[in-house]
Amino acid sequence: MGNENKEYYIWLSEHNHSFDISEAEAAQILKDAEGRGYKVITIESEEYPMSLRMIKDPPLVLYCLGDASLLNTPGVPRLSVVGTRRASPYGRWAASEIGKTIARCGAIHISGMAEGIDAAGHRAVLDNGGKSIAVLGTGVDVCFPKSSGDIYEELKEKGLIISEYKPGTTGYKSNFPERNRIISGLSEKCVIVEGQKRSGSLITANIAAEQNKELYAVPGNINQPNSIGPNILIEDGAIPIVNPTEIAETLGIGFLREKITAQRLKGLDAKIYEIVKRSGSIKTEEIMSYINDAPEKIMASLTMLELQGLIRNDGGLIS
Amino acid sequence: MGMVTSTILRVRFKKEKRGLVVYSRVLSANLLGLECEKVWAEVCVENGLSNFSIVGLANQAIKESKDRVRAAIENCGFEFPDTRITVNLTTAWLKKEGSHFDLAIAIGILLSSGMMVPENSIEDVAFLGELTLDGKIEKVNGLLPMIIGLRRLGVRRYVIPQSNLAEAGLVKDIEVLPASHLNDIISYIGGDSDAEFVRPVNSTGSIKPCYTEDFADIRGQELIKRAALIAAAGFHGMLIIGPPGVGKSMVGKRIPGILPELTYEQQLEVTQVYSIAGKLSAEHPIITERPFRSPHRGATQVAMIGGGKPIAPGEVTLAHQGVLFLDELAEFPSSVIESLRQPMEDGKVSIVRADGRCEFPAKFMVVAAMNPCKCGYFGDPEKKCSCTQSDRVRYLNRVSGPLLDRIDLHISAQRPSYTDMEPAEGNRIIDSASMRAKVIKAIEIQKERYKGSGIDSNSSLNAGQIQSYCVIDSEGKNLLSEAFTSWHLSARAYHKVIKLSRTIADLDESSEIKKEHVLEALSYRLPEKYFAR
Repeated sequence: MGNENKEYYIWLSEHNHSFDISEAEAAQILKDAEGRGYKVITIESEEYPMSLRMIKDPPLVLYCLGDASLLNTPGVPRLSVVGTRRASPYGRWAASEIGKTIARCGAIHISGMAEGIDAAGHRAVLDNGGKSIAVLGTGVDVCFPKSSGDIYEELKEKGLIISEYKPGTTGYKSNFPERNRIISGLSEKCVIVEGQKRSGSLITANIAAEQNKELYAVPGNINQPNSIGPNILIEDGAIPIVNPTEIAETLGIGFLREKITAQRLKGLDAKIYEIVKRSGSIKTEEIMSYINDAPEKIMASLTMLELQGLIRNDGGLIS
Repeated sequence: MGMVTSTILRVRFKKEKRGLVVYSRVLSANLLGLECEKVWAEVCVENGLSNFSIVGLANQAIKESKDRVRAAIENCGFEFPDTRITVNLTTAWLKKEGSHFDLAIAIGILLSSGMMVPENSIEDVAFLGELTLDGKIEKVNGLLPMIIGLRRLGVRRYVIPQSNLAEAGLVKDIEVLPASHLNDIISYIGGDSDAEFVRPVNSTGSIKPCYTEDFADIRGQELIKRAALIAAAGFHGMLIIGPPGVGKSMVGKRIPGILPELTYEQQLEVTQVYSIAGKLSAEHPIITERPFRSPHRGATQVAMIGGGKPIAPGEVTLAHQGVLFLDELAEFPSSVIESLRQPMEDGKVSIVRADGRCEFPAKFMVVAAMNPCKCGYFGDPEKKCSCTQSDRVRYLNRVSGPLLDRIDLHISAQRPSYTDMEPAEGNRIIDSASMRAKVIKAIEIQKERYKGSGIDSNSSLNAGQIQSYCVIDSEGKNLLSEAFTSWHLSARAYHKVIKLSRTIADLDESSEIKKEHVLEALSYRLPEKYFAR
């Protein structure tokens, strides 16, 4: 970290004019960063995410709290899920289904930690053991909104919180639309769950479109104000998410799921999975002849694998 | 035949007293279902034209009793009175059925006509027996429930057919005089014999249950054996779907053998049913084995549920405390299958007829087997199924969803491979005895848990009881909620899974339902492709 900081300090002093910060302040920030465990990544650092460098006005500095390695994950897609703060139950459901799917597939979830859709997404990802990034419109050390306190704490441990604003910054209204460019910039794909005609979510969507990101939207009833935003996006060419059981396929991350879940298998589950994959389709009784274990354990294992979507059980014929 | 001569002498003596109206009454019983009522056979012999009538809503069998009684009395060496004889069966408005009134009517006539003078009092003795023309006393159907019912009404002494003796031995605190001929009774009443009312030999436990078929005979099919074990341990219904010849019926037949022995109360219940149905034989005078009933698919609704005239128990009642095996479930008429829903839910059947209503116990474990399609090979990896999609749907739709919902455990059977048929040395083969030991342990746990709650097995849990008795750990709960959403389980299916996991946990002797129990329970669920409705 020491080297990194020195680099940053040099960089800061060079670019001082473009950044509303004094040298003394910069030194203070670095000192605080060391003390409080957050990391400072500059645009020139190797850790700075490539996708963010490509956008029109990339943040010069990212303050990170948590697992900064989530910013560069080759081969693992990052998806942002955003939407209104005044979410309907339907919207919250959709956000948490999408969040769950992202977690299951081992992809990375990005959102803004606002209440409503954002929070529902974060919660679902965290509950399902997935990785999530929150991009704040405040300093990383300021939890905003307060209602997302539990998510904030969990993200510190299991995910990542980033911000371009210096620590201690409280929320200015203009900060939030600005940080939306980071949300979309960081992600490969952007999902809009709910939002009114003129809303932050639509702004994010527009930015994402400008940044050439794949845009998805959750369709809704046309008489619901919250659904007008995503419906308009669909009209304009966003991909609608229409099948709740095939979210992963729609988002194009389904291929990851089997790999990820299969990797996580342990013991008997892994053994049975391997036998099934090797033989294509196999009778339950035959599996038992390969594995000398109690039938109840094998049945339990098969159910688990089926529940995870790794195998199919067609009346005793496993494939 | 000295005894007969002396009786005849007494008859001549009595004949001189003709001209009096002589009345007597003898106790007997009437059954409606398992409900027993006291019935008095009142007999009045009076002067008048020769006539013999039986009143008191008697059915055909009792009406014909006239001729049997007359012949039997004459064949005992008496002269049947050539006067006016009226027999009234009280309570007069109650419809009566059965040939067992013969004995009471005959004794009443012998007393009223003065052919016999009682030395021993018979006021409190119930007479139950059918007569043959030569005076022999024949076995009576339904004797056990009659004695149980009368004992409840305070009757302690019974004259019964010799061949029913073992049945009576199940009832506590009674005395019987078993007889095989009308003469035996006449001489007892007349004080000419040494016969005494005695406590019948307790027949409880005299016949050990004997199951000839063992699960060890089934090679391979460990999964079905495991499923049968779970079903037996929680008295859950079980449906086996699979191609022909995989041993579905073999499994069904062996389930009674892994259930615990019938308790005294259960033996009493089951034997009563078999007594009414007339299914007790000399070799099997009492039922100690768990019944196994396998009605043919041509069975009518009455045969299945019970009914007819006189009302007889159906297959569901004959399977009480045992197994009702329905082979080729889809081939049964749907009305018959649907009529099983009420007994499966309530553990008893109510039969309502114009004559009255009666209830029979029907707490049975249903084990059903069916093919996955008409030709039987759908889903078989080796043999091709020749059914079209619409054939299959039509075939499966014969079994309704509500009925399937009431069967807790579904499993599909696959044809065993050759290696299963010829198991390698040292491969463990699970036999009935070891399965039974596990079942008994699990049932004891359930009995302890449900003490005082009115149920005795996991399969009888209702929604409220599931809440209080089935504690699932958090991992299991998460899993259940996930399965619920991803497989779109119905509320009933949800309860089924919990009940099954409870039994699996009991077999595991775990007080809490854990993740692995839920997982296994979830596997006893048929794939949607079978029953896509």
